[in-house]
Amino acid sequence: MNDGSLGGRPAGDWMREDRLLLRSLRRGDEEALRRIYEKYKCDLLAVALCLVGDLSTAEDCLHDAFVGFAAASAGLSLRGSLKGYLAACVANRARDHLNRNLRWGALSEFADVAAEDCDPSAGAEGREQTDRLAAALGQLPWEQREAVVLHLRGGMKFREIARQAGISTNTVQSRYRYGLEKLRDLLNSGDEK
Amino acid sequence: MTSGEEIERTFRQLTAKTRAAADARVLADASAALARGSRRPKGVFARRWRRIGALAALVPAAVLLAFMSFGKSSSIALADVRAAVNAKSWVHFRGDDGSESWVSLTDGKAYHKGPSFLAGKTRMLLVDDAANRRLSYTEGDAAIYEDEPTVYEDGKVPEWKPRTPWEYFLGWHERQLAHPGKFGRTERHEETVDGRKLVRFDDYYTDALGKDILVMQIWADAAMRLPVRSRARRQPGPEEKEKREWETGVYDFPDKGPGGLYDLGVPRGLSLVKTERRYFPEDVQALLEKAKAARDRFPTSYRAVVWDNDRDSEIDIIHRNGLMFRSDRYFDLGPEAPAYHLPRPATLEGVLKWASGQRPMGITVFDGGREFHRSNPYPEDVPAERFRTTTRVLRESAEGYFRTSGSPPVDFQWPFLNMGGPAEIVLHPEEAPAGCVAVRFGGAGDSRQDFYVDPARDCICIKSVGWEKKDGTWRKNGEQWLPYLRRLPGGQWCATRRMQAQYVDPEKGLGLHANYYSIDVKTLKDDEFPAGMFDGERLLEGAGAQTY
Repeated sequence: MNDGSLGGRPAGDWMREDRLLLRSLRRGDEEALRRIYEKYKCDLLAVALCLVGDLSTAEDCLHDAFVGFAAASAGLSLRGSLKGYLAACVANRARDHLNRNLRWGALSEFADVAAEDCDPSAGAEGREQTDRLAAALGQLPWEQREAVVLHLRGGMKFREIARQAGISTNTVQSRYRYGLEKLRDLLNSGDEK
Repeated sequence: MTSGEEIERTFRQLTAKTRAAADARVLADASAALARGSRRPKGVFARRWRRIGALAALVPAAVLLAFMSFGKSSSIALADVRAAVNAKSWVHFRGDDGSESWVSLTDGKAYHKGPSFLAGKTRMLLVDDAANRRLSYTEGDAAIYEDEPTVYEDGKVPEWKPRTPWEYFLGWHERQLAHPGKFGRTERHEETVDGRKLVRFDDYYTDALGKDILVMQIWADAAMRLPVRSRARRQPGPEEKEKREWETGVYDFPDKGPGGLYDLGVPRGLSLVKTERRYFPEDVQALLEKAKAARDRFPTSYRAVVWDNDRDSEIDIIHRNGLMFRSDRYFDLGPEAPAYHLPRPATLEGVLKWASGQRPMGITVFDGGREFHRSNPYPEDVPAERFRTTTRVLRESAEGYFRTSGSPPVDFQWPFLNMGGPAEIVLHPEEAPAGCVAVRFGGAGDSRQDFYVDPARDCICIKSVGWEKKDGTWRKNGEQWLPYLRRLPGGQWCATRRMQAQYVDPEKGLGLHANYYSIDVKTLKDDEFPAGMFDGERLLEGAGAQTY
């Protein structure tokens, strides 16, 4: 997944830009805040959607995570990537939302959004596949879903997820492996039907 | 059959686009949070305190407003209104930022409730002029804090006498009108609003570049002898981002005001923490005096270079010559931008050579009476935001400037000299480096700072640890070490290395963040400073000036 490029630009450029944006943000630069939001909003919304399965709740997660990020930015000091940090913030908000007995939204709205904005070349078959994957995600335990989504959609490395979650890298890898196996089982059982 | 690779590919296709309304909501709320969360230097905080005091002073005069707000005509006879107002002892002021203030004209107590500097929190204040006390509480605090009192020249708190709204709110403006100050003056104008004659006092502040700036206006009904409305220019800083240049508000005159801070929503049962130095125990006072004397012996003409020798971080080159000071701050943009990168480890000579070919991102000059701070944009070939070049100029006394700002390494070596209380010497401290005395500030609320001071080496703080209480448990949130000291030619001790670590809440996904700085101090003679180095006016060239 981490192929070293993002949107056609070398990853180094993006990380350097992130560092500059963060420095500006620490000084209270509103333009830097806007730039960071524009840069990562779609990826972060996709992460949130994968985790909560409901567009409105996902938007709330993105909102809360980003407002919290802005409020804490003056004292912020990152060890990993900005995108990874923001994805972890979104995941934390998603967990909070689900803990407040908001149920998994079955990703029905995700499908609508994805259908509008997916790569057109993906075609109907691709959209069907994303719908099935989205539905299967809702059946994963939270820990496994979080590990799978943050790694595959958030682009975070295992050690980054581990650091953010305060657990060992081995634990994250285990959760990811179990989650991926279960996803495969769920999708394959659908194929057989 | 679905493979792992297919699942990964499908994940990449899970793309979503935010909706415009959601974008607007996020950006509006995040921008507000950014403005509220931005850290402010002590000086700004102090100015804000003064401004709140001034606002509180303005507020009480608003009593009459209820009867004569703009756009309304009153059929009540003047004598009736005047009599009604004179019978009231409270003035209430409501600002357009949601803040409220109440002033009791009989006993001099003023209450304020409004947005805090902290994101989404409310701050409550009690200013008791008669007793010279100020109490404050911010939502979420574990205690109510009593601030340093106003220091009067003769050491005595002026006796409080009940005042009329006019005396309380307009008296200062009238005096300023008759006797302009060194850096301010007041104009009086008359204007008719909705058929009603009002007087307007305009207060001007002469800024650090000699320009008059309108900073406050207050409208009053001279016939009724009551204030009506006021507006005050906001301080520059985070407020600029809110695009609000003025704070306005109107006055009314309720029958009753708050009976205390609890009536403003402060939780009951909190302890009162006195931050005044007069409450410090004798052993703490003695240690502080000894440390202050050592700080005063530190050279005042020197160059200090501070750089992180492990990672690309900021690099500071500081010059101080008596009451003049200059700081040039450079940013190392990392190995991805080799033209702006300083490879590590770097020697002092290497740092100075690298810096000579760079443009500082920030330059601060204090010329003995004014501080100039210039912010330069990032280099043009670095893809970055659109920055303006600005220079902020503020007037400041030398005594105040060096007391609150400090300068490396002075601020690293004696950070506890600016601390408020409560304070105590800790006996048998567990973490004390050999020979150090531990002095603790705070602790009654949810935060404290422990300083380990070495009496044998100019009372320098060898180690300091910041603590915060969460769920009843104290945990570290930051640490500083000065592990190596050397003597300067004059015999004073001076740090050569500084370790600064920040412990961040793991729940927020952040762990320990540490910097290891090298510090080089070289004492200089007057003729060794480059010519024009302390000329702040030079920093105005090609820059937009901000002077208030």
